[in-house]
Amino acid sequence: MTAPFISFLTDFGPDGPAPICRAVMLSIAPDARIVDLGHSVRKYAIRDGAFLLWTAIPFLPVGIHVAVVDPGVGTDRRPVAVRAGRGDVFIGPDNGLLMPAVERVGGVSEARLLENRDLWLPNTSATFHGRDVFSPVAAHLATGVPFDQVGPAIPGADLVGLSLPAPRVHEGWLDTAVAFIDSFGNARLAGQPGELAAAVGPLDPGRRLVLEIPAGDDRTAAGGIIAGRVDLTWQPTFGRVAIGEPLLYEDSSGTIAAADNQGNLAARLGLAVDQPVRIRAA
Amino acid sequence: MFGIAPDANIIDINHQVPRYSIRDGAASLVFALPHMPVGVHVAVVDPGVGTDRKPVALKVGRGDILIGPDNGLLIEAAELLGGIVEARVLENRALWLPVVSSSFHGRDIFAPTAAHLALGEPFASVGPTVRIDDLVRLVQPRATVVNGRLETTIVQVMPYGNVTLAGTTLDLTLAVGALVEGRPFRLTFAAPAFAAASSEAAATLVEDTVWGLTFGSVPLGASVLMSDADGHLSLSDNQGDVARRLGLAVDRAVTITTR
Repeated sequence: MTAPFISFLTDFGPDGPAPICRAVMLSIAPDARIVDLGHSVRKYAIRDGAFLLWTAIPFLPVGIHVAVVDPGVGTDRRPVAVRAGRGDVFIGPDNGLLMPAVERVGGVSEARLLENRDLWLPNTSATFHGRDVFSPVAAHLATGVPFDQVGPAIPGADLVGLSLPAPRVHEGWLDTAVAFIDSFGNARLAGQPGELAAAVGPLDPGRRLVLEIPAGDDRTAAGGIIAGRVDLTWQPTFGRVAIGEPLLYEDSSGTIAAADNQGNLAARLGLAVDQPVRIRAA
Repeated sequence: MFGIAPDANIIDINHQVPRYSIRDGAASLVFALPHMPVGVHVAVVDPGVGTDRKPVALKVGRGDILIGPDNGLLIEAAELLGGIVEARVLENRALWLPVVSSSFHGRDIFAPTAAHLALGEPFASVGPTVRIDDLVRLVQPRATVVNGRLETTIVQVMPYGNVTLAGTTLDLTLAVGALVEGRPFRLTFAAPAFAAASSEAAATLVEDTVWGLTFGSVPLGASVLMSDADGHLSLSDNQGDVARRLGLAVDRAVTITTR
């Protein structure tokens, strides 16, 4: 039998809490293979954690996925385990963090509250459920404890939802939004190259495009007030433009992204998550 | 370590302990080791590396072995794991790297000795025993109750900027009576001992806060005094970083009063 697989994503930072959770899991399931998806999620940013889990999940084996970005720890937000269509079990707070990834691997097939204290650490704090609840439950599942042991079933529709932004195709432009800003300052945008091509025509390398940052809340009206405008080109990768020059490209998870070659586009343009942007034909 | 014990499972607890801060390192071990499987634990916060401070290995009641410098770093965690059963000085050079520097004992002594122990080398072979009472101990800050106030000290700054104080909810209850959610408190931070007199951080600092059960007991950005994941008193900003906001660091004295 292959080692049970557990992935682990948090906003804990690399030191201290995350290794303690790993140790809790290995104490219960010494044969588990734990892959850290990262612990540098922007603190308290549920949306960022959801995006990273969503980008990672197609590359992970079917297994148990523990994700903790949990500003509501210890309040009445619920700890949950969600089984997805592909067979994975996602464990974490019921705050939307898990849902985009769950949707990407077949949607919710069964959702349960974590209420079986036999699967938790004996002493549970109000502030560190990663250690006391999520990690031990995940490890017990990895050792073969049946899913229905974690606690009572709840309707999938009762889970707190979270939607990543979606693009809108217009004749000649694509309205989209910043879905995530990675550590290089590259802005991952909602939408795929096919949607951009449907809006502006074929995306050949070197195709000239315009990235517009609408002012205020004017997201839809063509010709609305523009706070920023960047002339750039569609390219297969960063090094096709001069250092410091901007480009649009298909990122490694299949979505549209904007970057400065060896620069920090998000900082230069003052972009933040959810900022609407529009891409036009030049 | 992998060069000697390729099958070992190494968990990095923390490499961001503030430089030279033995107390921060000791607190990090106290936070982590009770949740680690029984094993070999290497800790190096070692401002005295290469001087006559001794390299030691401690066997504890739970069966773990703690390895590091004899500067107090390991003691408090060792006591949590059942107390020190046997202490030895690392003197067996057969378990060290062949060439030993005077400034990097983590690489040359602690890591290879730990890996040999992980492979099954008997504990007794690391070197001669040393009296447990002869080990160096840190002076532990304590919380003291004075006329309805709790005099305490910052013992650790946690990853989210939460500040851990010496003392428990019991200590605070003894000082001020029952702790209920929303009860108002005032924390007065003494001027830091080593701050330049002219610096902004040198002044006494007052933070008004409330008792809570968890971060979400108070609005976003507000501070909350509570019991942390290990039962110690802790001050946090809900989804903020109170240590950065107030410029707090380990060893700063704090007085907790009601208001």
